[in-house]
Amino acid sequence: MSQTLTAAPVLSSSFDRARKLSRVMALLFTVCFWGAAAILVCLPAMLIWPLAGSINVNGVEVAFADLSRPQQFFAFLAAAVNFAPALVLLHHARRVFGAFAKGEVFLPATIAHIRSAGVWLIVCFFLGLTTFPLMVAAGLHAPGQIPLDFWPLVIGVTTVIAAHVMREAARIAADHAEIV
Amino acid sequence: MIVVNLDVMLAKRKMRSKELAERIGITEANLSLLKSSKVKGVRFETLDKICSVLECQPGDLLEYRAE
Repeated sequence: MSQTLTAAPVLSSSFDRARKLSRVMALLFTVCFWGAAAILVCLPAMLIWPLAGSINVNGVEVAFADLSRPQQFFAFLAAAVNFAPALVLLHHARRVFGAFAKGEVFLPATIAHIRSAGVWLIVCFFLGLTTFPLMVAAGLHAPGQIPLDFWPLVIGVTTVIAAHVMREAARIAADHAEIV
Repeated sequence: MIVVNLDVMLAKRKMRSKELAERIGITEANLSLLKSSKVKGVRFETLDKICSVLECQPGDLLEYRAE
């Protein structure tokens, strides 16, 4: 019956520690989310007023004031391409840990957020690749020098698989819940 | 289809659902679902407890009816 699919399972007391840690993680991700959102909102301002400061893009400290106008534009694009998917990823991460903190485990909404977080990690990896030509155009990277970081891809794929496993576990749990 | 005749047996034994639920250790809500055949299955353990409390056979509780 569908009501068992949406009902939160009864959690053991040993999950309390995980709930507490999840609360901390949710808070951390929320702070990071709003921080990234503020940076994303301030990015156009850095393009208009380059003296505003510097920003870290793919491990490279970018001081807008030191760049020429076209370089500033490419640096702005590289930063936007980096921060936009990270913002979505952080949103899903804070929702996942927020749900865990409330004890909402193995629920369809939580599983959907876990899957989305994995998908956006993969998106971050591929969008990260596109930032290199922009960084080169901005004069922040030497051509041909592309330091690849495969961890977002590996963790993203693992997270997506874990979400599918959780969905299957939720389906099995719902099936068992209908046996008295 | 399988029909659960638990309410008939409860009436015969003059026992209320609440008491049966307490004695076999399941919730009244689940017992209600069982009575209305709205469950996917019954554990042998649950069936054993019901038969023990109501002093009946599984055949007294479950009946097959062609749809």
